[in-house]
Amino acid sequence: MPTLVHSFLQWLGTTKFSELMVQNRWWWAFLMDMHFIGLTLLLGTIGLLDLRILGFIKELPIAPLNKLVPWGVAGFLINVITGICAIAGMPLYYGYDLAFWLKMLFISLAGMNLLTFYVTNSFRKCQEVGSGQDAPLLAKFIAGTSLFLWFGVIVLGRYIQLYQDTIKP
Amino acid sequence: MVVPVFLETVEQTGFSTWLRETQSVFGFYFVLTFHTFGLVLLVGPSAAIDLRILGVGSQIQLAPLKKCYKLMWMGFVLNAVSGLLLVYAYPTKALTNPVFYIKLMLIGLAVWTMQRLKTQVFGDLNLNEAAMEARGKYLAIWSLVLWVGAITAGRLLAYTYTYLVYGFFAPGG
Repeated sequence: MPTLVHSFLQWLGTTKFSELMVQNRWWWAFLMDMHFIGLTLLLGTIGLLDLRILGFIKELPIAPLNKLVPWGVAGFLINVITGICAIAGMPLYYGYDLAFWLKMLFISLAGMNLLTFYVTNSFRKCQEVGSGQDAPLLAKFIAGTSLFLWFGVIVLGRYIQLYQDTIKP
Repeated sequence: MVVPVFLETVEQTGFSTWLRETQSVFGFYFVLTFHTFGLVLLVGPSAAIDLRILGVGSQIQLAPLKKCYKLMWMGFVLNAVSGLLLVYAYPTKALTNPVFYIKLMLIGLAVWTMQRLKTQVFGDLNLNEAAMEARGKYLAIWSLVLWVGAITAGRLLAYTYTYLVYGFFAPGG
């Protein structure tokens, strides 16, 4: 563990904000509850879009499904906020946990995957996919990767508790 | 409360002990992961359908979304099985916690609402979308409320239990 990172995490744990996050167990329960609701919103909406791109429920044209994306983004933002609150509450617990860092990696990869969707022509090509039509192969690859990464994020999140103290000081 | 000794008997079985105490990735957390997958498969599409019925993304054709029910049933089965395993690992913790029973009731109500919505909204192929939406409106609202309730109850299980295992109180009381 690099000294700088450890020092930062240690300092974070001494702040008033950190203390506030763990002071009340019902507040912590609320944070975790919102984190699950956020993940359900994210996976329910983006997941449905990804599944359609992969060919599930082909009667649906793809373009209208974009209207669900803002709800997915809202779910993601809820999770970023509750996630930050959680880390601030127990910085050394998360900092020394391999599953936590892998989870952050997977989230970053999911973000990069999303970028690929927009930067390549995939997004625009998908808008033209009508009822009964196949999405382009690259779009399918990106959608599949998206589902894999987000389910991976869920797995890693669940394993945080088991992987406590897995990073060497 | 008098905790039934039977719960200790379950906890002392090899499988229950292994699930709880193993450091293997295939133990308790593996089961918990599948429980979360099931949650996503069950509540994700259900919430998306509810939102659609309530007007979000109104250009999305409603009728084809009926196909999501297959996913939702898969999620339900996954959670019933993983849920049983989780209770088998920590029977005292779950079965002496009133919140656990509240969770089961909320899930029961949510699934009933989900089924009712399926027949009311997707049951008649001759309905136009406006009619489908009208029929599903209150069911969709209830569905969202009940799922949020069920998820909340599930999360609260980690913070409201009295006994971690038979004879041992939760840390902090």
